[in-house]
Amino acid sequence: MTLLSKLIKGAPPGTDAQPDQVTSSYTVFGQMIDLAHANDRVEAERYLDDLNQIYQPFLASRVIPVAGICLDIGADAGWFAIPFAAAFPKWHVICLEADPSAFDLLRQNVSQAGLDNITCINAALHPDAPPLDLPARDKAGTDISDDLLASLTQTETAVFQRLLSLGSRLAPAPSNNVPKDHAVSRPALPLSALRAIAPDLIKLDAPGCEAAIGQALQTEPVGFVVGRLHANVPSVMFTPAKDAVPREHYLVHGEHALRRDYEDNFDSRVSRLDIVVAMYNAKTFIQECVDSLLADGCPDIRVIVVDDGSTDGSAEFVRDLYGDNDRVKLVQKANGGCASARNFGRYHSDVTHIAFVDADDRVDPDLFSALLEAARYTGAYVVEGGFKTFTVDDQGADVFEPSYEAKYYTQPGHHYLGDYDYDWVDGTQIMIGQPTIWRRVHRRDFLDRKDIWFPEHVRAFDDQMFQLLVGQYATAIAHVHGIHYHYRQHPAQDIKQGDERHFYSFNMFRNIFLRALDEGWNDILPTVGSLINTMHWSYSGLRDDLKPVYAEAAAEFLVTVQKTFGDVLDADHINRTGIQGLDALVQHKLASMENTPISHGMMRLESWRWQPEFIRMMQSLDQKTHP
Amino acid sequence: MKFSCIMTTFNDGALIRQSIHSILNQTHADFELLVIDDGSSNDTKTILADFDDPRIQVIPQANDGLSSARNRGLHLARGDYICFIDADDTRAPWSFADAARTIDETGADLILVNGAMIQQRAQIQPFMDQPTYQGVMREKHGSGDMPLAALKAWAAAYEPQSANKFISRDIIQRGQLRFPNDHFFEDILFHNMAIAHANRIEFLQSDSFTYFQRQYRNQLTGSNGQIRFDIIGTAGVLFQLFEAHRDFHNAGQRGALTLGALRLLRWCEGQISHYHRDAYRTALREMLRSIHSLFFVIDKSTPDPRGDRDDLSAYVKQVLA
Repeated sequence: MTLLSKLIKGAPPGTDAQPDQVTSSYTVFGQMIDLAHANDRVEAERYLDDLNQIYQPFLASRVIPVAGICLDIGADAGWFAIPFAAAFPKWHVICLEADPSAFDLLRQNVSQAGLDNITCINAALHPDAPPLDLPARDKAGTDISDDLLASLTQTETAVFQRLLSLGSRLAPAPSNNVPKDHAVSRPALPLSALRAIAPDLIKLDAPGCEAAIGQALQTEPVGFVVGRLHANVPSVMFTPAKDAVPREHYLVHGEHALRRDYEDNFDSRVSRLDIVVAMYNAKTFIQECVDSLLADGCPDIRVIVVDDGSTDGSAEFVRDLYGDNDRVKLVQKANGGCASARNFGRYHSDVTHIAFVDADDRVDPDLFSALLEAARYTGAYVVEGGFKTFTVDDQGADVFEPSYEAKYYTQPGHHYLGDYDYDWVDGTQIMIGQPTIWRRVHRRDFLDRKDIWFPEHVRAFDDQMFQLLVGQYATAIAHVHGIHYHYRQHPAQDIKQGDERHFYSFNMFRNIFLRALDEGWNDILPTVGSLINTMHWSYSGLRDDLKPVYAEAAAEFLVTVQKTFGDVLDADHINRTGIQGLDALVQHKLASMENTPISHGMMRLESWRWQPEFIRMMQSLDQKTHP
Repeated sequence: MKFSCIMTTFNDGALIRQSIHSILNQTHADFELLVIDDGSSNDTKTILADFDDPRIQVIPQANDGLSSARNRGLHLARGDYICFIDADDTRAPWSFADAARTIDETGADLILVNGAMIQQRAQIQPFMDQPTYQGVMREKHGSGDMPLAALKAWAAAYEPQSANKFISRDIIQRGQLRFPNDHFFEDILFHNMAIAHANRIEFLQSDSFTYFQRQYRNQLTGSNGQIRFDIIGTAGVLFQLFEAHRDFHNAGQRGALTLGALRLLRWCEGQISHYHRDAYRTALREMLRSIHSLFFVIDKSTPDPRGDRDDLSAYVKQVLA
């Protein structure tokens, strides 16, 4: 771990006075550097740590062009600029440093190192700095014209403030509102200087100015941005405009980081969130739903309403309401069920994060902007908020009920991100719970890589398989506290019908167990636990005439699982299903298979009781063909 | 007389052009073509987007399997009769016209047709059903009017393949017919249940489709992968459903169904990777043990156009031993 050899050369022995400056030797980017800097041990450690933990790993993991312009914002004595210029001799580095003594050291270090590809400018960016007449750089080369250089050095001053325990760093301050002893006047460049310089890489160390710089860069073709954030900056500030040049960035803030890597689909997937709303005859609720999704005003969140062949004019209604809103996109398809509509929406999405919301529900105004923030800053495959159920009473008032999990989340989370706090939840925990996919944000690359889709032939509870696979693969999920999805309860809901569609569970679990075999899942018990819970829940809500068929189906299925995986079932599992006589049915079937070995082939068996389509085919025989 | 032709595709690429044109160029004009794109990559999607014809409906779905795609087609089909064509095969120009004429003349609700088969060698061969067609014609000429039960037995001896039949939508609705989701070798279930629900069956002589054995492309049924296991599930459910149908007591039909299933089961066992042979045999034995024992009584009235009844009977004994 000693990529950097740290050696701080202090005052010579025998002298009492603290010297103003000391020299450190360190190695980074393959360069051995001696750097003179202010005698502030804490700051020196911090600069070295940033080189070691941020800049070196970032540059090591990128494909950096041979030549380019690097802009070092907050250069201090040249901690980054000097080794960078030495390591990339065909690059030109422009350093911005407003603090006069740090600037002197910077120039001293540049000349000491004998580097001619560094330009030092004694200024800092300031949002309120008066505009300059700046000629744009000729982007073909790496030369900075004398005109541009002359303009950049003809700066006026603006008001900055010193920051507690941040060394020489200065933050832009509004001129009228700074305590006198903190305020300093320093040469300042306007943000438009970024456009004039048009850097290819930016090293960012600019407390108090981060959001403004990020915003100014949104349309600029900067390929790389790396640095430390000194405050929690809304990630939206660093999202390049939709048609901007793709950008890789790595901005570290505490335990969090905004990171965008060159990876599959990097060119075609912008860093945003699409919320897919599958809509079928939901005219009554769709406006409430979409309005609540738009309420946060976050430009990085877009709603894709998928009209699944509605016949009640929902689609026209949505078009009339949101026709000119560029945050809402309506796509239409032939009716094919909720799963097909959700997948269809995913096909029409070209962004990094995706969520799936029901057309009759709604959300806290900040639910999805907070989730996107957590998703970006943690990099988690999946993040979620809480949820509560609601009904509307006779007077039209909302009646809320907390969710079953509210009792587990009474304390603040252990991690903080801006105004929110969150905890890490183990993925397997969501495998056993009821499907609540709508309160989550998923990374699109995760869903694609793990091949997690909504099974389109499944016409109810298709979200269960989705959730189970997400839980299996997601490792840890960030659960953000204090924000909620509002899950509407009404009697027409699928889950309350108790019809044949409950038998889709067998079909889905069969697929999941086959996948587990194929992929060598090491722990099958969470999936078995989920199966048992599902059986319990399905059976208790099932129509009475279907209960005997369900019991038989369950027995066949459990025996198959047992004969596939060996010893996974116990009496407790069977009791927990609440299915009458299940223990006897299972016992009977196992007895008849006494000589059958444990084999993965067993999971390939199929039963007419395990798919609603088969059951309907069987019912058609009972009713029509039999004499 | 309106036909719904259901075509499913998964990454068929340029091959699908010919197939679609073979439908658009039908001499019988009244039809719809439902192309279910089962999650193809952009190649195929681009080719599909090039077609601009009101008779074509392209329905995309996430990759959910052949059966699911066919079922989506069945869900959306509005024609009086349904037929299928794979995206790498074609239908003869007179295919719909020939079927329409027969339906007009006879009111048949299930029509079985012949086909051509293009393989590696130069000569175009008849599709595998040729001996079956000849068998049923011989019996027809011998006995005059054949009873429905005998026709059903011969129909069950046809290759369980999707292109070789036209099915009335009425049969689909009465029988709630669907393909087995998540299973390949899906045709054997659909084929036999369509026969079970049919009230009038006709057999046509003319080649109605062409089956291409592609040399440079892996066909689904040509791999040694785990999809071979699927026949166990599909056949198992077929046995379960058919046992509940009164046709179960039609010995010839039941026998032909069993022979068809056993032929596929044995073939798949011979094709599956050696790593899986034990597991395949274990599951197959368990499935066969669980079905009605009358399925294994294959009497002399059973059509046996391929002459493999004795071999297959021996195979089943060996598996059950």
